[in-house]
Amino acid sequence: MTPQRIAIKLFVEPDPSAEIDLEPFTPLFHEFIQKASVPGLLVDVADYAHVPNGPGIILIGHEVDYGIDSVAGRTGLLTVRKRYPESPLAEVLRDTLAKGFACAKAIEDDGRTGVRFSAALVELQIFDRLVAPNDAETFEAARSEVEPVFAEVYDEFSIERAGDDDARKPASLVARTTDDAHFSDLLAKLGS
Amino acid sequence: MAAQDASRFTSASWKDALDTRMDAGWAEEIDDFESQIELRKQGKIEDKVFAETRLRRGAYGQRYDAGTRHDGVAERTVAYPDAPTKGPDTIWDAPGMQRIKIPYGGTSPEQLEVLADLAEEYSDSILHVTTRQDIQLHFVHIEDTPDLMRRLAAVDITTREACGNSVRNVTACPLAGVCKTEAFDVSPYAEALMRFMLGHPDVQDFGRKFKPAFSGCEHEACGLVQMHDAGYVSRIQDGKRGFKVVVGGGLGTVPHQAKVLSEFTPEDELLRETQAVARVFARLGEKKNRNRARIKFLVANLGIEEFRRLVAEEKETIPHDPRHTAFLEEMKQRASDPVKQPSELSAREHPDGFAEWLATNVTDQRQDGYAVVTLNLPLGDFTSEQARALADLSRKYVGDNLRTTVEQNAVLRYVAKGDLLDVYQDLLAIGLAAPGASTIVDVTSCPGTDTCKLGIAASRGVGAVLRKQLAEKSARLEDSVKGLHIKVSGCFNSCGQHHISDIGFYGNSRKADGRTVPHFQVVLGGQWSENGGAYGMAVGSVPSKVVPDVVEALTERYVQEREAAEQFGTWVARVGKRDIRRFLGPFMKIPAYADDPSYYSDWADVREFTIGDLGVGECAGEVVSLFGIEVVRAESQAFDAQCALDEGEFSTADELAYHAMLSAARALVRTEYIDVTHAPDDIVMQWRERFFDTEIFFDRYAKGKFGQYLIDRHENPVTDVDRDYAAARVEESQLFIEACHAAETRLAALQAIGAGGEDSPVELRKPQ
Repeated sequence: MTPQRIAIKLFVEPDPSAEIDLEPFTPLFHEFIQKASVPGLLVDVADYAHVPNGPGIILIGHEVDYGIDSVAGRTGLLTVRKRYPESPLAEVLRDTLAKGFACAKAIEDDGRTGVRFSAALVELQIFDRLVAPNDAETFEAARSEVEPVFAEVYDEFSIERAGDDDARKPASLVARTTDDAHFSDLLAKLGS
Repeated sequence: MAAQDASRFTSASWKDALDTRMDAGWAEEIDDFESQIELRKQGKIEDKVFAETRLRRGAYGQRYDAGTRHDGVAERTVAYPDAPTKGPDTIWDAPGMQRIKIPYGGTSPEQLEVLADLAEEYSDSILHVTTRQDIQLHFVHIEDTPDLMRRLAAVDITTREACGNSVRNVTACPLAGVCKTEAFDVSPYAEALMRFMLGHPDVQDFGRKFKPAFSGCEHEACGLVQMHDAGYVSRIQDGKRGFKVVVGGGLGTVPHQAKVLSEFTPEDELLRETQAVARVFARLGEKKNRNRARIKFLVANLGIEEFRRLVAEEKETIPHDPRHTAFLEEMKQRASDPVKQPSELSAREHPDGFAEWLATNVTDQRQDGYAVVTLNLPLGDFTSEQARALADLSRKYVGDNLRTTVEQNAVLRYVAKGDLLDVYQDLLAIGLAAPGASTIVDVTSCPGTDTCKLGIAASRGVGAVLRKQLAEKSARLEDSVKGLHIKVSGCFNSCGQHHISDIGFYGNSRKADGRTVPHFQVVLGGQWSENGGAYGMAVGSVPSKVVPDVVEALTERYVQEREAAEQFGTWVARVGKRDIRRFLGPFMKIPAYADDPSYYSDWADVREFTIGDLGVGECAGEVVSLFGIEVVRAESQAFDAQCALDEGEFSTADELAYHAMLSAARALVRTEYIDVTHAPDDIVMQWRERFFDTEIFFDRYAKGKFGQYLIDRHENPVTDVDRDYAAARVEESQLFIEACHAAETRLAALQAIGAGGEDSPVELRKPQ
């Protein structure tokens, strides 16, 4: 599968449905640009804090965006891999995980937002309705491709289809582990 | 997985998938555009040519994509990795903005779903409604635009001529067809004009853009036809349908009210007459100087009588075209029926919040038993998730009767009143039931410095703060205040339509304590009704950080001093701008950086403010410069000119405006040549030699436009001054002063790095 765009979401813990203060993310993301603190060519910060259950504050990059996203009422760090040479899903996911984990770690290490993310659950969204419509066939195909990647970072894990059957929505799945997962360990496993 | 199945996941293309669903002509144009992108990548098309090509497809550059960006510490080159694919000033393959034309704002559920998909797959999951009923997506990569356009074309939406020197989106009153005071529904006429003009050979050679608008009524805000290049107000005369046609309106830097071209143009003459207007504009409109190239300048220069004569003459030369009238038959078959039978709202118990929402967001239709529901979208934004849910909601309650509005909202029309509670609860569930539509809470804002390359201050930043603060105290606001409109533009180009709001703002900057401070010019007393029938005037510039305080102070004073049912604009006129300027005086003070650095950053942007034009950081300097002291006189004269204009003293207004420009120019000259005299000839000569001819005065995008105001007025004074002439000069004087401030900032920055001297390693650079 070679989707044009994918995203991974790492949910806020302990309660992704709790409202968080987005304000500290604006200076933090500007600082990330200044110091090149997270991977990617970073160009801007977009503020959508005024939109309820929206994409929040986004650190815009050329090939990857990082956003504190509350779509569907569950807040998390959404890492959107936008541009890459046409590559298999597994390859792109591996790269996106590395970027998302690095950003989550950078936010947590900074500390000023007080936000922490769960490293034990990753939601993968495939934004390509042409090659990956939201159906069971896409899920099965995607699962077989991403399982080896998650096996690199988790010892024990399960993968299940996420969201509902609404054909208009992006195909998505969730990888869940019972491991005591930490972003620094996961990054090391990915060689980042 | 079988080979056939596997291919599904790899080799599909939107071009193949949608081949039979697109208009063949549109599909071919998109293929051509895709080829041009490829040729540009290979360096086989010049930047300028490609820039015009992509703009005509609605693909804009964004603020940072000139290849540099000030990140708050330093200006740096952004090393975009790909081959350059954009125009002269957007040289790199950075993600940009895609504007999507939505004629008269009409959107079907199917179209909304596609827009949602595109926002998710190519943008940042946000759909932004503009002040001209378009939808914009930001941070879109140009390589993605051909597929994006194909997916739109498959649901009958085009981005063609969404930008460029062409006929832009045709807007119309969102209540057209359901309004109680309209003559008739203008929507099908707006649709017909859009179809007829799209790609028409007569509209391919304009010097600038051309924006049409339709209105059903003369006296409401409706389609805001008075501020459009061409406006059409429906009228019935002797039982026949037709339009009052106005031309030459526009906001921009110097706003013009449109003039009446025709009191009644029969419906079967609508397209032919507009074609004649387009041909006259294409033939006689300015082409070289884009700052004077809108049709408003042509109409002003020729006079409306001569323009009318030319249009009448041109009409006779237009060959017969069956499309001029064919739409009249077609439109009878395209009525959009309501989904539900009419009904009345039941008296059952209503939840908290419903009554307020009902009062501000629901309007009775002309048709009994139906209402229009307005979705108060924050700064015009909604998400892909919300768009899909809204499509479901539309299908359930209203079918195709969804429209975007010029207040950056959306409306559901033909909601059976008996469904209102259910609609409210469904909207509440998807976060679209915010009350306060079309009230002071419902702030309109252009993109400003968030994404627009022309923005000076953060209009969306201040808009979001105002919206939040006003919503929190909405319940305590007087009704007279609730009904006010606030509109914010990031610069003088007026995309936020600040001229036609009760309280308007446009972004500028001032120097203080050796730094640049984001400011907003306060514009009061504009008229939203009468199709945007009168423009507000500037009363003074305040630091961005105090804008919420200014709104609070002005509205409190209005409530205290208001007489009976006195409107805000009437109160402003009665109190007088001199008084209001004095009242705002305390807000204009800027604390030293050490005392309050927050003044030196803009809303929603923690970086220290910079206009960043010259690629250098801000300099240290004296607390108040000589220019800063002397330009005060110019601002005072410009203000007196506005007052004279209000009092009907047009010659005095013109003279004061001229002297305001001279004073500002002199203040600037004295930063280099202290002995310049007060003689106008000497001031203009010195200023021209040192700042205009060297292009130091030039704005990065407007170039010499603002400087030309002084030269024109100095060289060509007019003795018979009327209101329009004086109003234009007054507006120009304000813009000239702003340009002097900007030039002084550029100069100070250059001096700080030692530029300009013979031994300096840094050349005194003109704006790029």
